[in-house]
Amino acid sequence: MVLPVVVVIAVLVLYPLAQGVFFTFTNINEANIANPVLDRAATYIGVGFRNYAHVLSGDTSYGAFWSTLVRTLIWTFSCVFFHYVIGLGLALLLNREVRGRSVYRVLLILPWAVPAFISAFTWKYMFNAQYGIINQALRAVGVDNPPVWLGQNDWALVAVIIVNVWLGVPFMMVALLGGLQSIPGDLYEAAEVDGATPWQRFRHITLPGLRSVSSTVVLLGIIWTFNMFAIIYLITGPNPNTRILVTYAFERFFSGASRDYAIASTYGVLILSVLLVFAGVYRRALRKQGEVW
Amino acid sequence: MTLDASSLKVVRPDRVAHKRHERSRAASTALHATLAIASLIAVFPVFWVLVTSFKPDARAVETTPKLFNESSLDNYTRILSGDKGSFLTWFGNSVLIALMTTVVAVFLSATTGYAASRFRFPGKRTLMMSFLVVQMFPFAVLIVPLYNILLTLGLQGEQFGLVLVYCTTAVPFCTYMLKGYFDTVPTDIDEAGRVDGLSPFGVFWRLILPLAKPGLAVTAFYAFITAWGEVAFASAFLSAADESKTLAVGLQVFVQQNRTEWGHLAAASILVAIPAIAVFYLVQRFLVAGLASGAVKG
Amino acid sequence: MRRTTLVTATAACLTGALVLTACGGGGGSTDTGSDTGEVTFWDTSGPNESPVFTKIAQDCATKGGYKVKTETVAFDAALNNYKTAAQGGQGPDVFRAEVAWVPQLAKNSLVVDLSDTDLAKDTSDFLETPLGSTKFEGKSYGVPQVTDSLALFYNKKLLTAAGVQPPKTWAEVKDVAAKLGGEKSFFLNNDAYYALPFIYGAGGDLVDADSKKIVVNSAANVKALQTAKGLLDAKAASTALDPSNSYNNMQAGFSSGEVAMVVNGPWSVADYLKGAAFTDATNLGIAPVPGDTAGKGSAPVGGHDYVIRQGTKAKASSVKFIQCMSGTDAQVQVAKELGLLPTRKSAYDNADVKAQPVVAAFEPVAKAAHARPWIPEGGQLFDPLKIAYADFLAGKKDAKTALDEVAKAYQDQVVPEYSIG
Repeated sequence: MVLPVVVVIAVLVLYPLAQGVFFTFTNINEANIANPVLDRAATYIGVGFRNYAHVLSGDTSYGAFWSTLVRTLIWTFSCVFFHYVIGLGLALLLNREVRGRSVYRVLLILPWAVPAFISAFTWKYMFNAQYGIINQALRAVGVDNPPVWLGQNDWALVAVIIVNVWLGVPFMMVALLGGLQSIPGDLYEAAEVDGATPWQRFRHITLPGLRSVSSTVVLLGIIWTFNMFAIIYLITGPNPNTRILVTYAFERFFSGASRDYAIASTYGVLILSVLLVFAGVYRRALRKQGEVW
Repeated sequence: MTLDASSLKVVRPDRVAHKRHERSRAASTALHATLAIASLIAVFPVFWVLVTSFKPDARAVETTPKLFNESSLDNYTRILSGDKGSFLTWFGNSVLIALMTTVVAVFLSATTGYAASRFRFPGKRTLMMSFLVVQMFPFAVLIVPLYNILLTLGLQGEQFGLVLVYCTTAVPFCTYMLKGYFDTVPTDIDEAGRVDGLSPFGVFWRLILPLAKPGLAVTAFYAFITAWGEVAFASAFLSAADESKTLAVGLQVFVQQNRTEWGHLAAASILVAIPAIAVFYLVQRFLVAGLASGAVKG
Repeated sequence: MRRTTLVTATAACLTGALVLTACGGGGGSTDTGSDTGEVTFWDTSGPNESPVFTKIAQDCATKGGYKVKTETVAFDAALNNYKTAAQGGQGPDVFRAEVAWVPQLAKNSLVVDLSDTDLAKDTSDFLETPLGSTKFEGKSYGVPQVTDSLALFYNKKLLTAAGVQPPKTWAEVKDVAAKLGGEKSFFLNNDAYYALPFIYGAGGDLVDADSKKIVVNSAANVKALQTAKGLLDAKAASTALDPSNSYNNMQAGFSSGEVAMVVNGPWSVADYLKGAAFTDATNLGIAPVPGDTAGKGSAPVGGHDYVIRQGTKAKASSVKFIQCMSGTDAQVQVAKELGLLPTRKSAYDNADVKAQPVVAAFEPVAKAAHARPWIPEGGQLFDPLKIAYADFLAGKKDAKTALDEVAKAYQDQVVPEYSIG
C-alpha cells in the first residue's frame, strides 16, 4: 500500500538530498562540477568540513550564521504563534451557527487562494512608505512620521511578518476547523449539563480534541515558515534586516557567477539539522502528553 | 439531573435548554463584528488587486490611492484574447497539472496515512519521520540534481514530471494531516466494518474515508493550491514554449526587466484566483460534515 | 497486511510508468555533425517588445531557409533556467543574454565561442562599448542586440515655467531645485545601478578588472555618494527609503508631473508617454546625465547580446539567425518600432532611426556610455552596493564606512583574487 510513495520519494527526494549532502563536503560549484554534456570532467575537490567551519564561524562573508539564525527563529515563532492563535480564534467562531457562515469562510480563505507572489506585490505597494495606503491612513489619523516599512531597519521584519501571518492564517483556520468538526457535539452538551463554563469547555474538550491536528499543523507551520523564502525576497529584496537562513542560501546560490552548490547545500543541511533538533524536542514534549508519533 | 446515555437527551430544567440554543444579541453582534473585521483584513489586499486590475498600467501605481482611475475592462479583454500570451492555454495547463497533482497526492497520502494510522509495518516510524525530514530541506537549492533526475527519467518537459515533483512536496504534508484525521476515527468502526464482511480496502474506502471528509477537503485544497501557484519548478521543468506554460509561469511575463505591468498583472491575478476560490467553495461543505452523533454509539 | 488489488495495481502502474519513461525517454541524438535546421530562440524582452522580435525572427527564418521558434521567457528567471537547462544539454539554441550574463556564461562554458565563425568576422560596424560586452578572455561569445544607458529625463513645461535649462552638473541640480519646487525637483532612485552616474561622474568605478583591484571605496566614490546625499540634504531631491518601492515611486512621481527630473533609461519612455504629464509627447525632454563638471556626465552601459548555447544541435542555423537578427535592417526596424537603441553605427545613419525621437535623443548618450567591468562576477557587484547605498541614504552609515564594507564584501565573496586599493 505504501510502495508507490516510497519509490517516488526515494527517487525524487532522497537521491537529490544525498547528492546535496555530498556537495557540502566539496567546493563544488557550477564551474567545476562534472558535465558530460559539455565534455567537462569534474575538477572539484573534497574539503571535509571546511564549508561547515566557514559558515558556523559566523563570518559576515558567509552570512553571519548565528545572527541570521536568531532572526530566523524570531521570524518563525512570531509567525506561527499568530497563525495558530488567530487561526484557532477564527475557526472557533466559524464553527458556530452563524448566519452567512459560508460567505465568511470564502472571504477568509482568500489570502490562501490568491497566488503568493501576487499578494507579495500588493503588500509591497501597500507598505510603500510614500504612497502606500497604510502610511496614508496613518498620516490621516495624525501619525506624523509613519515608519518606513520596507527600509533598512527592523520595521522591515515586522512588515514581512505581518504579510506572512496574513497569508498563513487561512490554512491554519481551515485545518483547525476540520479538526473541530471531528469533536463530537455530545461532549459539549454533556459538559454544559455538568455546568462547565465556556472556558472550561474550551480547555478540557476543544484543546485536547484538537491536539493531534494542532500538533501536526504547528510543527509543519514551523518547518514551512523556517524555509519561507519567496515572501521575504519578493517584498524586501536583499535586505540584511529581513535576511533569514534560506534567503541567504538563495542570494549566495542564485546570484553568483558560478552557482555555489556547496555553500547553498551547507546552509540546507544546517537548516535541516536545526529543524531536526527542534522536531526531536517537540516529539519528546508531545510524548510526555501522551501523543504517539 | 440525569444523562440518558443511549439518547443523549438531557433532562434538565428549562432555563438551561433555553440558554443553550439562543445567543444573546450582544454576543451575536460581537461575533459578526469580529468575523467582519477579520474578513475585511483578509479581503482588503485582494480587493486592492481587483481595483488595480481595472486601471491601465500607467495609472496602477499612483501618488494618491484612488478607487477608479481610468478604469475599464481593457486589461481583461487583452489578456483573455491572447494578446499578452496564450492565457487560455496556460489556464488549461494549470488546471490539468493541478487536478493531476490533487488526485495523485490525495490518493497516495490517504492510502499511506490510513496504513500509518491503522497498521504496523516495518519502517513505519522511519517513513513518517522521513516525511517530516523531507520538508525541512529547502529543495529549491537542489534544482539542478532534480532537473537531471527528471531528464534521466525522460520526464523533463513533461507535465507528469512536474506533477511528481509537486507530489513530493504535497504528499508528506497530506499524509501527516490525514493520519491525524484518521487517528480521530475510532477503530471500532474498522472492526464493525470487518465484522460486516468488508475487505480492508472496503473498510477504508466505504467507511473511513467518508468520515475523514474534512481532512480530505483540507489536503485536497492544499495540493491543488500548491500546484496552482507554484512558479520556480514549473518554470524550470516545463518547456519554455508558450503552449506549455502554466498560469503562474505565464504571469511572470508581466514582470519585466525594468518595469512591471501592474494593471495586467492584477487582472491576470484575479483571473488566476477565481478558480482557486471556486475549488475552495466546492470543498468547503465537507468541512461541516463531522461525526454524526449516534453513528458510533448505539 | 495483505495489499488489495486496487492498490497493487496503482503501485504497478506508477512504477511501470517510471520504468517505461526511463526506457523510452532519455537524451536526444548525439549526432553533433548535422544541423537540425530548427532554431529555438529565448526572448526575454516582454510582451510589448517580443511581437516585433518574433516577427523579425520569422522573416529571417523564411529568408534563410531554416525554422525558428521564439519562446518568451520572463527576465528574472531566464538566466537560472538557461543555466539549469544548458548544464543538462537542453535549452534554447539562441539566447538573448543581458550584457552582464555573457562573461559568466562564457566562464562556465555554457555558450559557444564564436571567434572562428562568421559572427566574429566584421565587427567594425558595432559600437565599441557594447561590443566589449561580448568578449571574454580575448574570445568572442556574443553579438550585441540592443544597448542602453541612463539619461536625464525632464518635464519641459516645468523647466520652462521655472526658467531653467536642464542642469549639466550636480551642483546645478542643487541650484535649480529652489525654482522647481525643492524636493520635488529631482527624484533619486535608491538603487545601486542608479548610483553609477554619480560614481562615474566623479571618476570612480567599482573594480578595476585590468589591474585586479577593488576600487569601490576610493575617495572619488566617497565624494560621489556624498554628492548624492547632498542633494537630499539640501532638499533639492527626494528619494524612497524603501528600496523595493523606489523605482515605482520615481515612475509614479515623474509620470504624474509631480517630479520635474529623473535619471532613467530608454525603456521607461513607453511608461512616461502614458503618464498624465506627457500626453503631449514633446513635453518629455532627454538630456545627458549631469556630471561633476559640465559635459563630463557619465552613465553605465546596459543592453543585450545574442549568444549560442554550448551543445546546440543547430549551430550553423543559429549563426545565420544571429547574423540576420543583428543586421542593420533588423536593428533599424527594432529602433523604429520599439525605440530601443541599435548597436550598429550604420543603423544610426538611417533616416527613419534619426526621426525616432527617443533613439535620436539617446544617440549621444549611448555612444558616450561608460563600460562596465566585463567579468563573470559583474552582476554580483550590485547587491552589496545596493544595500550599502540604501543604508547610506537612510543615514545609517557614513559614506566611507558603507563603501569599506562593500569593498570587504567584494573581496570576501565576489572577487577574492582581487586586492583592495
